[in-house]
Amino acid sequence: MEYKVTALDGATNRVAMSGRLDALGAEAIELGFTAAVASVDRHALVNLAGVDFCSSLGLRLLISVARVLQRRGRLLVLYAAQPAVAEVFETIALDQMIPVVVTEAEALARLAA
Amino acid sequence: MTIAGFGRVIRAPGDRAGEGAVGGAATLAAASAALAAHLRAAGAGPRTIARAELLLEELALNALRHGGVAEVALTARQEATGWRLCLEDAGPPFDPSQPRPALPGVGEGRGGLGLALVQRTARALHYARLPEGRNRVEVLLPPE
Repeated sequence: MEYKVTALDGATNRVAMSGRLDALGAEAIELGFTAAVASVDRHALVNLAGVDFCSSLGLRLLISVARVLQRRGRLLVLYAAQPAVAEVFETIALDQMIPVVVTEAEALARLAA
Repeated sequence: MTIAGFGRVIRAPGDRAGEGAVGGAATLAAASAALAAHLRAAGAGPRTIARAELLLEELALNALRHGGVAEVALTARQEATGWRLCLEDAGPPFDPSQPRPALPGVGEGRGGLGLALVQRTARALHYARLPEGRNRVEVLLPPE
C-alpha cells in the first residue's frame, strides 16, 4: 500500500493511493498516512484509482482522517474509486460521511461548494 | 462437473507487532490471494472475487482479533447457486448474522463496520455452533 501527497495549491493536497486497503495495507500506512494527510491544515483530495480493494480497516482509516480534517474545517474528498471499492463504499453508504465523487474536477467542485 | 474445493488454515501467530501489521493481517492477506487465485482459475468474475476477499477478511479478522483464536479454517466451494465460503474457529460462540447497532465507524465493538459489510454483502449467511465447541459461519456469495 502506497500513497503520494502533492500540493495542488496552498489549501489543498492531492493524495494518490495505490495498492490494497485491506488490514495489512491499512495498518502498514496508518501512522504515516494520518501524519501526512490529517496533521496538515489542507483539504485532501484522495485519488483512489490505484486502489483495487478496500475492507473495513481501510474504511476506518479514511473515515478517521476525514474526521480529523473536518474538525479543522477541512474536507477529505474521495474520487476515482474502482468498481469493487465503489461497491464497498455504497454498501455502507460512505458518501453520507465523506464526499465520494468520480473525477478530480468534481472533487475540486466539492471544495468550492 | 466437479471443481475441487479450496481449503486453507489461517494462523495468526506468524505476525509480529512492529512490522506494521498485527494479529493475522499478513497471513490473512496471503490466504486471500490464494482464494482469489482459486476463484479466478475456476472462472469466477472480478465482483465475485472481490466480495469473497471482503467476506473472508472481515470474518477471519473478527475471529482472530475479537474471538481470540489462533487459527481460522477456510473452505470455498462452487455450488449450483454460487460460491460458498465456510469459516470455522474454536473461539467463544459468536453469530455474525445477528443484527447489531448500525453505526458504521462509530460502533467499534466486536465487528461494527466489518459485520455490517458482511451482512450486506453476503446473499445468505448461516451460523452454527458445532457440538465440538466451534463456530461455523457459511456465506453464499451473490451472483456476479
